[in-house]
Amino acid sequence: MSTKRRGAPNAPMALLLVAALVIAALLYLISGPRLIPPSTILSAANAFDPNNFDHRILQSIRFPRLLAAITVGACLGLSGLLLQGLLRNPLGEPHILGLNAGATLAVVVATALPTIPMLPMLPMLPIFPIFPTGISLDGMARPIVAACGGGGVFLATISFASAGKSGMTLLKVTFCGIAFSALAGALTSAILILDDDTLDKVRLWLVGDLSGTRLDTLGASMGLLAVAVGAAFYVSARLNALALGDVVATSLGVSVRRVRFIGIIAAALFAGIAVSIAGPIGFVGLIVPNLVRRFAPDYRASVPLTALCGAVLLVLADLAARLIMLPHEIPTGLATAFVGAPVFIVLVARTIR
Amino acid sequence: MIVKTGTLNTSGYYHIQIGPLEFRLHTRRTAILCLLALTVFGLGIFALGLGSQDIAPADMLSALFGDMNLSPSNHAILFELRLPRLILAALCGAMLGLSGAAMQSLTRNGLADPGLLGVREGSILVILLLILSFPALPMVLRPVLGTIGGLAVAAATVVIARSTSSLRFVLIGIGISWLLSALVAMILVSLDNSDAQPLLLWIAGSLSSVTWKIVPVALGLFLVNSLLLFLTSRSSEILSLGGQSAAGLGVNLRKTSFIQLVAATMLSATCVSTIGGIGFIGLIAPHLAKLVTGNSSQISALSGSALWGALLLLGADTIGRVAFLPLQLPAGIVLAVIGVPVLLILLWKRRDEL
Amino acid sequence: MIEDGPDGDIAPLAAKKLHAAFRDTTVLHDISVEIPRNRLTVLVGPNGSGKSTLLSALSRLITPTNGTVYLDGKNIHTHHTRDVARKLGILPQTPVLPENLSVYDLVSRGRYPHQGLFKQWTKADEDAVQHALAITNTADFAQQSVQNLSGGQRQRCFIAMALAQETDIILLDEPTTYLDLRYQVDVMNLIARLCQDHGRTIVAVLHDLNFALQYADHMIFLKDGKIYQTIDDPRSCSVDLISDVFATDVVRLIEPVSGIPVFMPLHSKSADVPCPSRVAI
Repeated sequence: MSTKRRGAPNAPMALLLVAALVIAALLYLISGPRLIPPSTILSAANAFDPNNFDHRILQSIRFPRLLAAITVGACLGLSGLLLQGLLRNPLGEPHILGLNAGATLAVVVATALPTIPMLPMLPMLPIFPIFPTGISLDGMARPIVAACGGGGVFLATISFASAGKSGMTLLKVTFCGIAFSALAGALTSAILILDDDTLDKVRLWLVGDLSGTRLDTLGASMGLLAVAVGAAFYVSARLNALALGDVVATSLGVSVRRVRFIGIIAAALFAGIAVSIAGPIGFVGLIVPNLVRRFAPDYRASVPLTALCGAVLLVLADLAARLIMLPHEIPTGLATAFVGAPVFIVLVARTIR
Repeated sequence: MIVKTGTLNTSGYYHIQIGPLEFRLHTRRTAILCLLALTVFGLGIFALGLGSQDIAPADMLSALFGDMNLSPSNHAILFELRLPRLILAALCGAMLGLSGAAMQSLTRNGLADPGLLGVREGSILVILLLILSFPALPMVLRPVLGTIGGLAVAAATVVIARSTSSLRFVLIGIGISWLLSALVAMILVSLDNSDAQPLLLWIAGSLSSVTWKIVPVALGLFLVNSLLLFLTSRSSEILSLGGQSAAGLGVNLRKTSFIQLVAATMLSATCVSTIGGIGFIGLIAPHLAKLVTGNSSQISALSGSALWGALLLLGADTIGRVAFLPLQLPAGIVLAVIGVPVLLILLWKRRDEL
Repeated sequence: MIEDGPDGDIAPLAAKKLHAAFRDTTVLHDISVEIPRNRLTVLVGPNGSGKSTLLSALSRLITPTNGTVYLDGKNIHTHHTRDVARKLGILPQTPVLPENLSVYDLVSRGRYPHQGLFKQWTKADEDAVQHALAITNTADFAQQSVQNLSGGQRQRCFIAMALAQETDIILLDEPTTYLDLRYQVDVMNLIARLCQDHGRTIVAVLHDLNFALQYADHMIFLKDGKIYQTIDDPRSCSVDLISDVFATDVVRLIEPVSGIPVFMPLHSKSADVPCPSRVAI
């Protein structure tokens, strides 16, 4: 395969996206209830002054949030890309397939566990040494919990949707995703209704919100992120073959099972990381890969492009979320839903007769 | 009034003539439906006695017949709280069942549910906006306004999808419901925690704030719309044979589809307006009905769905009311926990065809 | 009006200067045709010649862009929908079958045009259904679910439904496609009997030319949306006619039992051997 020829048309697109990201990031740091001029941003980067109020805003609020937006956007985009490629389904998206609902349920359960009366018994089980104080969801624990919950529900969804002679059709996948999301959602609601404390802790996070990010949460996910990115590159190289069908892919020397397995774990990790940092944000994984694939159908080039595009999209979405209803902020997940749901409708209207 | 009855034919039908009206009844199906109706009634009476204050059946029955032997607080619980609640549960359950049966026959898709189309979200959105703008809005007006919201959404879906009987319609409806959910979520997030919680409860589907005033409105809308559905039931039987066969048999496709869609939407919107977003009943009640009465007659399918819907909602509400005392779980959540496995079973059975 | 037949009565179904379109492309051009009473008329032609479109236009499923379709001498679009349904029955190419429907219930659906708000089910309805089941020999499995039957039996059930409708005219769109050979014969024999013994007027679109020749009383050849020729006697069907309509060389054989011609495509395995074209045997 002549990668050189395929890679070349994507260079301008990559440059465009990088430029867009830089501009978006700059806008992001500048805007807010308090406008901070670019010169101040530069001076904060070069010579940080802890007494300067603007510098402190940049350091403790905006910059971490920007990093989070970039990371989450890239993760969601990549998760969607992998899912769409692995499932050969343009509607593949962590939210639709239940990843978000599962991750949410897992995090809510973990948060609520300390308050459940039966818990004192559990410390006796050797596999749960951390229970005496409840699961603390700082550091790596939260993304892992989220990824497990999300992955579990997602696996249930696609296993169910693949059953039967017709395989994994659009309708089955959508319905299974809705079913498992609804079940996870109902259980989540039940816990939140029965337990006020947990509701308070997670209410804003529930709709997908970047406002409470801290750098350490972000940092803790980096290790997992590296693993996931490595897996993504491995898988994406083989997604072109997979797109031609399992049989053809196998005859081209691709181990379909292995690629699927690794790909799904990577997708779940990406989604889990995203959910743990910012809560369930949907539709980014739907829009970005579809957009990128229009201009760059080669999956190998798509990985970095999708990451960039996802980052740009989420930075802009979060920016909108912060500014649209000043002085209030709306959760980022809502901003993405506003754009994403119509995109979904247009996608369906265009591709399905 | 001359009542003539014919003999039972080989397919189990009994021919009956009352004056100018001639029709046939399927003995087995009619018997099953009567049994189902009795079950609903029985469950209602049983649930009446359960709750945070258990009232003994004997006391309850005698109170219902006019004796004043109950303490004033128990009397109030029975007549002001539980009775309207249970009646509304049965009524709304029936409405959701009817709505689901009509939608499934209209879209020729066994997985259609008015909730999927965003009708629920549309009604919720309209009512939410109204509650927040005009807090003094009488409860009685809610079903009417919610219905308008629901109809608007249904119309939008039909226009965008340009058809009512295909995959497109269902998927576009799902997209619209997501968009509207986002709008609803946005409104909720801008409220305080204390304001938000009762609304969250209502959206999850809960009968806890039901009063007598709502019942006549709900009953009226139920009767009008179910009449529409029953009158178009034979046309919809023919519609299920496909557009061409139906046209050949002289059915006006557009008129029948329109009436069914409007009636189904109004039934669903009425429920949402009164008790919030309850899902799954519209999805599974028609299948339960088909299990016991088969696919031969739309009238049986409609009646069966209505009865199963009433049973499901009564059951879910009772479980939510009683199983976690002193906490109350909204019926919508109980239904989701029951409903999803049932949906999965339905998906499983169709796994080769979908 | 248009006259037909030895007794000179009005053709039950006819079209005059018909133009019809399918999604912005004109499919039928200036078609004028009369369907003879009590006969089996077959529409044949290559794919895209407009056979199904003509049938749809005749059955009022589509509105012509120009020209008129006449039912019993009157413009079909001025008839009341119920009246049309009582005179004309349709069996589409791929009829939709609801799940778990018994044969009896399926056939009962055909009574719809005769029922009303007060007359939901009368003795006449019951009799029509039983009669239809008897004619099509489906009474034996009337309680079984239609989807569990064989292809041929299922097709007979749909024909029974059209029969229960008690219409004089029945239009069938490719009733034998997708069926095994023996079921094709089964269904065609039934259709022929409906004409001869039960006085129906039947118009069918058939894909298989030779079947059409064996069974039809009247054949209409369509090519490129126009009527190429109509013949009343299959024996008069010539090689030239078939070769022109289907744009392929054919050889004409005579089926020894019925004396009716059979047409086979002419082809040669070796490119060097010249094809004897238009050979009549």
